[in-house]
Amino acid sequence: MTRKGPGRRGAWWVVLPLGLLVALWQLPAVWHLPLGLSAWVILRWRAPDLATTLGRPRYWAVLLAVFVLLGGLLGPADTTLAGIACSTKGAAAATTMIARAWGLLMLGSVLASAFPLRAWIDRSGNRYVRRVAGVVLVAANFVPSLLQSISEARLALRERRPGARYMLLRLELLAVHTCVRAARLAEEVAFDMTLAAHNGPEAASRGEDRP
Amino acid sequence: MTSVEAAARWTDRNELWGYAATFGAAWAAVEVTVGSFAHAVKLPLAGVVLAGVGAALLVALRTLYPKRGVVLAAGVVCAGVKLLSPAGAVLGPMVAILVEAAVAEIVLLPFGAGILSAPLVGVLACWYAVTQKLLTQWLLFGAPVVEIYRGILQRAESWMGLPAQGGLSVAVVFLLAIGAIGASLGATGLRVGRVARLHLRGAS
Repeated sequence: MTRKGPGRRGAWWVVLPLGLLVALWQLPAVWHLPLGLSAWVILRWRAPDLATTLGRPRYWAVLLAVFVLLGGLLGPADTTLAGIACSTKGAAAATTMIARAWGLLMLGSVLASAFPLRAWIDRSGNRYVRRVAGVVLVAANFVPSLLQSISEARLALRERRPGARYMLLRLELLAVHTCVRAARLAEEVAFDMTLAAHNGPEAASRGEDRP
Repeated sequence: MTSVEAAARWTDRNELWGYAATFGAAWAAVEVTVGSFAHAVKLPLAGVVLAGVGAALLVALRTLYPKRGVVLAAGVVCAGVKLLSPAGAVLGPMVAILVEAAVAEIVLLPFGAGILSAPLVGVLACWYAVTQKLLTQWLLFGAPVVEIYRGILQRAESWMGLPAQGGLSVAVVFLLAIGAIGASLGATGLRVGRVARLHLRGAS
């Protein structure tokens, strides 16, 4: 079975988060957590690629526990639990907050898949957009080599000045190294860009701007 | 325009984009390394630290290459690299990068990177990180999240024995501490930029 891309089925999936948000608005708070969980399970089961922006379940479980605790302790006290004044309204409001966040994140994910920004930029005929996109691609290619350079410099500095008391000095030297490396690379990139612009096929069309 | 002026303008433009590309990549690399570390060790206020480090890098860039617009261009490049990254949530970090770069460009526009402007860039970047966090949470979780924060601040106020001001005094202390972190990172960026400039001059 072939899987459809998120862009093609995105429009239909808007119904799920919108339905969840309307339900949160209309139904009492006791329903909010089960509804939010159901919507998440449906999205993860039927469209896992759209559920990527929701993050890990463990993160949300911890956040839910913290919010319920804070809502229960800081909300208007309406009951007692083990001799401590608690707020069931505050705890319920916390579950609403989490379910609302799920609904909004799902909506954002579906809308983002329906409007593929990257594809639009790739297809753009605007000269400035293409120039920036080209520079971004060059920069993206530099990231691994810069990371490698930073990692090597970090190891060399640790060998030369070991110990926790030199940590700040090591960090500063590492920052200087990164800046020097980036500046040298920048000069090379500028030189390459000038050469490419001078020799490239589009050079003739930009003749008025070119030396 | 003479051919010499046109050549100089062309070279300047390419240099600006060259610096924007490499420092944008360096910022993205810092986001990957420091960001991963901060999230792995569950560092509180990781966004503030990342914003401060980003501000330091922008100040260092403006010190090394004192041309207007280069800081904003580096921010655009870094946001673009973030867009290309396979991570799930990129919109929030992209907005943060663009706003921080715009704020840094505006602050550094009149006099460049100096003893006052560099720490100010750090302070504003870190304060913006806190503001964006609150704004995002308010949008996602709704108004009750503000009440939770207010409740926490009021409790903290009573625990610290401060006079009751609705949590305002604790909020001010918190923002001052964040500002101090940002200022020290901004000043570090200035220092790093100056040392790197000396290295490059020495090498050439």
